[in-house]
Amino acid sequence: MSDTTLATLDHVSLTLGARPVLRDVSVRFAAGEVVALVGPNGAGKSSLLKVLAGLIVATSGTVTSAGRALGSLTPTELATRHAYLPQGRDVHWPMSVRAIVTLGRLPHQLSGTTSAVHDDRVVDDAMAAMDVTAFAERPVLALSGGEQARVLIARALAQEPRLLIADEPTAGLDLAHQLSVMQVLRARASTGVGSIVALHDLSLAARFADRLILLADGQMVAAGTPAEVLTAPRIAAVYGVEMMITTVEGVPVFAPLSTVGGRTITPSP
Amino acid sequence: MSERRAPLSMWLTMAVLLAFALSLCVGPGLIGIRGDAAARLLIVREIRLPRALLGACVGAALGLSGAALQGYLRNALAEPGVIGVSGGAALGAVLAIHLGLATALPFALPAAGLLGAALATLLVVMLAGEGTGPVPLMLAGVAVSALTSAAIALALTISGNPFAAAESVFWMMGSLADRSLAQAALAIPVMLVGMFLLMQVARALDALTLGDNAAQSLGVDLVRARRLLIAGVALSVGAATAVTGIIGFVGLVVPHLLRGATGHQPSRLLAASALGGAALLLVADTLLRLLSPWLDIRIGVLTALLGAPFFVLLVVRMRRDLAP
Repeated sequence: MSDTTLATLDHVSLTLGARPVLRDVSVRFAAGEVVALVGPNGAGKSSLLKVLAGLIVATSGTVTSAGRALGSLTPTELATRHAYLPQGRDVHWPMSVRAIVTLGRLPHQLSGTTSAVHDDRVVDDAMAAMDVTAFAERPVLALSGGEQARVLIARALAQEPRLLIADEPTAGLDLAHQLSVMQVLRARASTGVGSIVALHDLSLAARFADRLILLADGQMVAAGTPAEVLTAPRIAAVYGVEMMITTVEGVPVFAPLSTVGGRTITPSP
Repeated sequence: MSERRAPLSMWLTMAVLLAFALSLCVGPGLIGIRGDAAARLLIVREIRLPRALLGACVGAALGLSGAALQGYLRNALAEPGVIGVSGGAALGAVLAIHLGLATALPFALPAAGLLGAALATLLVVMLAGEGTGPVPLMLAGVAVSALTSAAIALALTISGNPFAAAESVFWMMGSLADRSLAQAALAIPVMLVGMFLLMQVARALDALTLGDNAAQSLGVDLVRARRLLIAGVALSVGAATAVTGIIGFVGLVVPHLLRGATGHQPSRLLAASALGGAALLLVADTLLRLLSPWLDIRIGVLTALLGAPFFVLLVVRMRRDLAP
């Protein structure tokens, strides 16, 4: 194991109630790497991310962060390493955008490893990265859904994590901001930050991720570069969809054509 | 942000000090005290000081508990009674009155109230379990409150003693009058410990704005925060209710009044609500004393009368903001 390893899942299985949600998943996350987690609904993507974020304890197997078992870290220690962006976008009080983004500084404030000046600078950077600086003093609940989503991503960036765990961060964003979220992750990757992002848009995943993990029924079906993982037969088997795969100016593009054995979706002329 | 924080807490602190001084100076129907210096000292020390101290502490306990519960439950309608604490205290006190303990032993009434609050809280915690979200806690609180209300109603109806029934009803309306310095000395330390515990959950409440999962991922120990919150509310509101009876509305309305001025940030709302609660209760109690020669009005009734117009204003403003 090289010293760039941020976190590992080793033979992790998870059973919730009587339902097996994850079966024998082993993954390693490295510094400076963007990993996309793809798979159909109910494949276990969110559960895998929650296990990695320390929100759910795996039924069996081990989870480590920087070589230490997750259970041996205090909640604050873990929070200074892993940031987690949930799929649900809960904001309960109309606090200002700046106050919400500043919540990302909490783990560093709790562990006493930051200063007010540094906090302000990190918060400003995170708001600028997600293009929400213009709303800084507005109540977050007065913004549109997509704008709120960007504020919450900025909150996770402000946490200055070594590993950013994001559950469908691009859902509900307009096209320009979907691209900019992924570009921000790439930019952070160049500074050594790793990220693991659940995505439904395979084109976005293939274009921006170094590595893909395809999950189905709680099992890791494939892992590797986008070209290795996203083959037409495999997509047909896992998603039940005939996929048109092409490249436009070197960028892979995925277009679903029809469900396998189902009705054909006729493309409009 | 910080340039707004200082003036608010400064204004609120000044309001509390002013209200406290007023409470020491104002007696029934008149300002000042007649009589010689020794009599004045006696009245201030034995009657008005415990009353002012209790008013400030009970108001602070109610305001702070309301703000902390609203933050934790993420429900703007939560008030200290919602987790069963005041219901338990009321049942304990009513039983002490009906069993004759209250007249036999001087401290039986507050002690029974405190014991009732503790038992009700334990029952709520056992029902709701740990590590569960806010909804089970609220439901368990509602269930236990219903149970204590039913038990109080039963005690009032099956008791053959009309005096005990009348005393119980008066007790439940709440009062700061005729409390001794010894009673205040008994209750205030317990309230202070409870309030200290509540102040420890400030950052956790901020993080909970983003939901349980996000809060946990920000390093918040949710189980610890919940224990601190429940213990804090039980101690502060339990002790307050045990000595003064049920004083409604302060815990609900004070956080609402101050929420906008604190940028809706739960952590900043805590101290502000404690100060605001203290000021409101002191003013209400002073007003009540001024009116007492002409109108016998209970403190719980007056806080509702003072708070309701503000609440109406808040609703009107909210309607205007939300209007399509």
